[in-house]
Amino acid sequence: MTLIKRTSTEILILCGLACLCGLVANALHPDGVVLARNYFKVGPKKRPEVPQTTSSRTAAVNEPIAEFTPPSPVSAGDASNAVTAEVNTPQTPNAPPIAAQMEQPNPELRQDESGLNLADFDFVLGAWTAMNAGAPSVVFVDARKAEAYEGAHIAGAVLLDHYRLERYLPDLRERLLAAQVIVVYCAGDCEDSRYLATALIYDHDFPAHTLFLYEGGMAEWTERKQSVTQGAQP
Amino acid sequence: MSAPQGRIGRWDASGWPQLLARLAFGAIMISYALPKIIDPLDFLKEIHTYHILPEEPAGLINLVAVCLPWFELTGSIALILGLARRGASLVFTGLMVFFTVMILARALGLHQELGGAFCDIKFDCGCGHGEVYICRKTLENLGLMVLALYCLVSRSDRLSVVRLWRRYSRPM
Repeated sequence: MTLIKRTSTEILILCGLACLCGLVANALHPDGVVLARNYFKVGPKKRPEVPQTTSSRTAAVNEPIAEFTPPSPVSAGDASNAVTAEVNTPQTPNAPPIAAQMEQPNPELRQDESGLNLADFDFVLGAWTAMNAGAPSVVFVDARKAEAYEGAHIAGAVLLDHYRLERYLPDLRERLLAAQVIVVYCAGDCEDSRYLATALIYDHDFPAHTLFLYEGGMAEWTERKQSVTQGAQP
Repeated sequence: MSAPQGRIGRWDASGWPQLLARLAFGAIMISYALPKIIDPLDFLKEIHTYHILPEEPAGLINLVAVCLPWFELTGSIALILGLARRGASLVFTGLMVFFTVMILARALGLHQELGGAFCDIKFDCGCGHGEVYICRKTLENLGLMVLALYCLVSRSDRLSVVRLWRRYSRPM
């Protein structure tokens, strides 16, 4: 056998053996790669569709929202164009849940080119304050892996490792679908929160208007000396 | 097989330099492969940061993340034993050239973005050992390239499983 032919055969055998071992090991691995899954999906370059509601809440969209607004009940038949946010708090147990602000498309709310809502620090801080006041409709989601989450995470955030969705999402799905504000973050200089939000919208049918990307992430949150917690997910 | 010419040829023919090169290269590649086999998802993330492979179809980048570390492991074991030496070392030489070019390109991009001294650039190259300084990593890769190239061009099979097999499988 010529040298070239022998070398080519060796390469083919080694590659075949590597692929076989790799695929078997991946199938047996508890954190294996899901071969058919696109872990880096980005949404199409457009605004996502937002369902129009016919509720008694106002339908106005032109009021700029610079920050997360505190709860205030909206009376039926209110004809103003103001968009308000409502939060169930212990003080107002009968107040309607957050809706109008999040359900209607708001041209002033920053979005990326695929239509994902982008939340700045002020908005995130307001949402976090509301969550800590007891609002069940606000959830913070940490898209990093467990080791990073356990090292430090935004106080009250839940872990939803983007690369291990199958492990964490089933337990959180109901809570997240019921939420009306889901703030997704990662380290800061990372794309995992974006990929997670996109996967939740396009692969798991989460409504796009409930998802907010906190671009500053843990880096900005800790830089601004906000509340963090350590330890595993409860 | 013709007699080795000159001192280098005789030195190579002894088989010991090649064995040392195979052992060194193989051990280092196994140390690179094992972390990637243990956490293939982390390796997948690192591959993606280079933006070489398309995201669609997803199967391609996922397959590389799953199979490449295993090639590094099986190829290294084969190389250490002296099995499929030329095939393994040819692929490893090609991979080292490719990895080094990619790492340098990424470092240049980071350098343009961040400024500062080039050798102070540090990032996780996806090599399996976390963050590394670019200059040190480049030198390491060049050293590995030399070892792989030597394993490829060496003419000796003296200290290899292949030779042992041939010796002990001869009829008495």
